[in-house]
Amino acid sequence: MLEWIEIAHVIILILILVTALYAVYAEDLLVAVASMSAMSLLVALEFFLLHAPDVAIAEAAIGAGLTAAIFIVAIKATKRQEEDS
Amino acid sequence: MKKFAMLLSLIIVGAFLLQVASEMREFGEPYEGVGPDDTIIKQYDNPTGDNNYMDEYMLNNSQEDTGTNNVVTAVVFDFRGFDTLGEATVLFTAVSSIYLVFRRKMDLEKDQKGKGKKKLGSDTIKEMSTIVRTSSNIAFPFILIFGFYIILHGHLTPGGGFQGGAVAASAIALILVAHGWDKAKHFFSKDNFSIGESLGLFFFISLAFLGIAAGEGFFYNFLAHDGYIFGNSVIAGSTGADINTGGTVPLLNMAVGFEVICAFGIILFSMLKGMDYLKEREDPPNTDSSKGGEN
Repeated sequence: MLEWIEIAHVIILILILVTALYAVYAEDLLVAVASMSAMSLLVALEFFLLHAPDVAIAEAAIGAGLTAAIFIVAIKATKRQEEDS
Repeated sequence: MKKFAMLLSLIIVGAFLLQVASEMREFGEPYEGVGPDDTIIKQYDNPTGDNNYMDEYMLNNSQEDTGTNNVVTAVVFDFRGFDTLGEATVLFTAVSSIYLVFRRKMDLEKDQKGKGKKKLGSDTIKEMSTIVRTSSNIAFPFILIFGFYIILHGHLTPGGGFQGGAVAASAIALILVAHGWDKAKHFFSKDNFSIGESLGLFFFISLAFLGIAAGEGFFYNFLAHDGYIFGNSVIAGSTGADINTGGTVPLLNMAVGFEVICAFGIILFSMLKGMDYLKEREDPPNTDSSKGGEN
């Protein structure tokens, strides 16, 4: 008999995998950044469930917020130069 | 071929990870040490009564030694303050190199100051819609204050200088993205961020050296249990929170938090400025029409 917290762990880990794969395979780079940001948020949730609130705050602020902003600025500043194979 | 190599490396790394995962202890189980007669000792048994393990020592004595209720912060800023100095220096070095990479733009501006100013390319990150701007204006002070709260209460609640600084910096990122570069550059100044970052690290190292000046060691918590600044004593055990405790830990938290806010400010500012430069190089502005434009 699984407890609800273990079910939550499994669901969150599967969602982390899904969002990470989507970030890799997404065609649009902005969509990939949004997916990576969602993955960071889920990782922060997982850290919180594992009783590491310090790491969770850092992951949520840096991974989901600031990295996404920096990536978006970098994507807007650059141009696509080659077609993917 | 490429896909095959990728798959192979993935399988090898995955096998190693699974091997490690199978040897991990169950979540929440303490470290098992080997006792004198090959007996296995769980950490909570504490057979000899003296503190055999470092983490056990920290859990038992951090309140007495450092006057800090939050053991994680006590470890990060007191027992292992030297490691945190390394972290802060890494951040400082990274931001310095970003500053260096995007420096060309500022040289360009300096050269132009004598010859009349050029209007910079302005449609890099545009101002967003009124709804976004208004809601980010409303959210900005709350996020900023929450970040300061995490920094100030680092010795009582989860969090600390790095975490609170990151939260407060995300508020600055919000304003920069919502209002666009042209307006946001009037709110903040890169030079102020740069000075702030250096001052944060300077205060951090000065506090560490003051430990030597107090007659103890580098990063010695000379303010704890003093009765003056952050000097109230903490009763060991699960006690109520008193913000006036912790000695140098809250001060180090503030220094690091200040440094992190300014560091992320510099990163975002440098990148936005670099975008401006690229835009200008792609379609150079007409010199006749742009005279008298503000910088």
